[in-house]
Amino acid sequence: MHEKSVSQRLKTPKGIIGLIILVFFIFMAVTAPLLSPYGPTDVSSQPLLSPDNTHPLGTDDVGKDIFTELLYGSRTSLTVAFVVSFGVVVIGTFIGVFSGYRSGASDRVLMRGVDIFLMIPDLPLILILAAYLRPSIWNIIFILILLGWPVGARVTRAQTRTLRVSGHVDFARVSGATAPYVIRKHIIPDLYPIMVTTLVMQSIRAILSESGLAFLGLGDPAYPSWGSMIKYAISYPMIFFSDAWMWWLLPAGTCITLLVLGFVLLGQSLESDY
Amino acid sequence: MEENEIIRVIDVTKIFKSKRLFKGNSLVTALDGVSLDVERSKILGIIGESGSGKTTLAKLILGLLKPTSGVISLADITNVNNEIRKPTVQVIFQDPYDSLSHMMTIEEIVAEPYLIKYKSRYSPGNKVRNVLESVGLTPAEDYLHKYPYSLSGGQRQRVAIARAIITNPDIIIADEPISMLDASIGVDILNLILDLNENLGVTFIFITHDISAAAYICHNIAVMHSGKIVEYGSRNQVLVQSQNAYTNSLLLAAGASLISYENKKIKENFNPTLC
Amino acid sequence: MSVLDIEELTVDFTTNMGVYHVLKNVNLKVERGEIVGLIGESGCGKSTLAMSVLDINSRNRRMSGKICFMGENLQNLSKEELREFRGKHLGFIPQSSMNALNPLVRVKKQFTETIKDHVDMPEKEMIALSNDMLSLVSIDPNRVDSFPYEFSGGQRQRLMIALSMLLSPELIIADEPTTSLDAMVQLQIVNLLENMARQKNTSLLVISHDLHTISRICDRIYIMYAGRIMETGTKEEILRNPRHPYTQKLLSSRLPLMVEPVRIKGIPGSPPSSLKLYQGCEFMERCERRSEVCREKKPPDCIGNVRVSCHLEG
Repeated sequence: MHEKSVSQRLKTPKGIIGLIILVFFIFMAVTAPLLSPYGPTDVSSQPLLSPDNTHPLGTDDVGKDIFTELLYGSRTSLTVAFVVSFGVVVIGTFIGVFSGYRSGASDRVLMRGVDIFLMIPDLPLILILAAYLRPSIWNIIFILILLGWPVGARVTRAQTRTLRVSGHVDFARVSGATAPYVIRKHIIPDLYPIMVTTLVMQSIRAILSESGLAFLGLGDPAYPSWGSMIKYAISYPMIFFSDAWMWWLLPAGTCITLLVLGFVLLGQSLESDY
Repeated sequence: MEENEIIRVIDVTKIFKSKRLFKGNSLVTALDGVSLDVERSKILGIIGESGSGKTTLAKLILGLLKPTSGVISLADITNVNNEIRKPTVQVIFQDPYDSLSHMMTIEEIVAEPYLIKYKSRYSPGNKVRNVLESVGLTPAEDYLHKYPYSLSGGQRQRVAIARAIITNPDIIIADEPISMLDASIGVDILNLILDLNENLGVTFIFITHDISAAAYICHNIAVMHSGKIVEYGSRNQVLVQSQNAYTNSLLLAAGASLISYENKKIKENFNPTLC
Repeated sequence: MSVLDIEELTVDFTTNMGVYHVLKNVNLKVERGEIVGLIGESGCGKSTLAMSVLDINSRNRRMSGKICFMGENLQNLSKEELREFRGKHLGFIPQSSMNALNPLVRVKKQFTETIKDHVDMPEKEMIALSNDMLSLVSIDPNRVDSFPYEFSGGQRQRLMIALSMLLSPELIIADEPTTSLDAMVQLQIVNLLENMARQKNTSLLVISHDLHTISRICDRIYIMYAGRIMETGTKEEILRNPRHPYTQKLLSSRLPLMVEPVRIKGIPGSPPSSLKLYQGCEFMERCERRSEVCREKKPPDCIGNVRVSCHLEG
């Protein structure tokens, strides 16, 4: 897995397309205030307007500009994606490396904890917690990290255990290296590819979870979300009897699909050897 | 400890607890009451098949493992300034593909023990270049920025030797350094070890399963089998005058022919004979 | 009719780094019941030859020349036909094959599945055949229910030999069968290969870097360097009267077992990269007898009566 570097893997067609998609959405998120004609929660106009000059994608059933919501929705999705994936990688790596390097009793205890977490089915727990806690974006992020770090820990622990008995680690120890040195110089660099892959996978999971929760009405109402856009569009009774679905329903669904696709392509290009 | 001894292994036993799936825990005695002395500035060969315990003994001397019972003691060395210190030990491993980190350049790999020892207080400077050239990797410039994957097995072992000598250790343990190399490349590595021993006075412990390799470079030889030392003495004692059945079976397998049981000689076997 | 007849085999691999010229105009024959050794340093292309015959390295590969097995041109066969050939008529013991056994499957099952893949045989017969093979390689048939990890390296190698001989193929290619084994075990394995081959009249192509050990059992030997055959001959010719400088160096770099310690020299330098194309002889840089003609012109290939590929020995 180390014959190609990260940058080499990204230069493949899949990697380039994935990157382009990701950059596109990052751009969208960053420039949202500049591009959108209205504020994210403004109820500014007549409801259910068709697209025109002032409303590029029309308005929804309470008069909010759809285009604005779409742009700000990307902020929500990307924020959740990056914070959750980063959190999972950092916590998972920390615990995984500690557990894998130490072995013995602390390792066994930690891994039993990991096993328990892994046994818990993700979605039901997320739903229950989301229903009982305040519907806040940070609670959602917290839950996703809480349920995600065990996967990261397992993977980094396995790699750490393998590396710990390798010849170059033995040599460093013979030369007098301390455990922090060995971890810093011989183990963590080897984990970069796995960490990058975990970042991508967790981002996908986070985006889909957040959109899913928003669709079910458990999202944070203060944050515009593509998931809730779909929810309101679908629940409008006449949605398919007019053309409204084209500019109200379709863009949000497309954005979710496209963003996830971007991460998927990135993930596949990073994992492949050809 | 005697004047010219640098390591003394006294009745060392090492028992591993082996956890086998579905078979419950079992105890594996890797070393059973092993004793030997290592003569300073000489090359000691430890010959044994897989499972004889020779690698375990090496790891114990290196401090990577602790004995279950018994003592390994290292003689004090007196400096030029009349300071007393313990000897330093380095190692060369068997697998040139596993013992060099594929994320580090050759320069980083060779400099590493120096930087660890002096805690980055001194820069290795030209030492890395010099040591690379002394193991035959010339010009050193060509190798400094390469990664291990672009080197052959023989070149990697030379890098392993280079990094083992950069801190001027007193003792180097070479654990099967040529087993994974082509026969023709192995000869050069053995010649390199001979040169280092002659020129720098480094004590070597050379671990191998190949008695011909031990015969090529060792001054003293210990033969191991199933965790015990079955024979131990000078090269001459073990190879030419041995009465031990196991040692003789190893010699026979390597192509020595025994003229008679009482008057053993190793037949000149320079031209390969047909069997 | 030869069992294996390789004519003018040239194999290149194209990658981002350039074209690797791995095999150049190789001619090699194995007759019925013969044991042939292909000797060369690591990286000289000998494993590529084995894999090209078995056609398991076709990615990015450009191949020219003929490979005839039992008279059939292997390149004319479809993938399916070739797959049937492999295992049933053409056996293979890969490098480090002691690690090629599936660690999760009991030995018995690995044997019976191999048979099942190629022949229809009742369960009882399969087990009988497996047990026969295990006895032939000196492994207690009662251990057939064990997992591979319960055997030592040498024993696993013997299991692989038994596995490859199960269907009585006409030719077995063994790639470095003695690497990673102790000196004593290497001898046992090599003798075992010879006994099995003679008993079942199977032809054997043994690939190795260890001229000394492998030459014990060979009828004929090919010496390969940088993708070309440098010398070929019977065992006696190669061992008693080596003519190519490289062969001579290989023989003289064998560790001697002498009463008084002696020093010998290895072969200076290292093998050339297969990315480079040579106008003249590839061994020239490391040869003590080199001359101008060696730099400029390629020595004649070992075809037909030509035994040595060297300007100075032609």
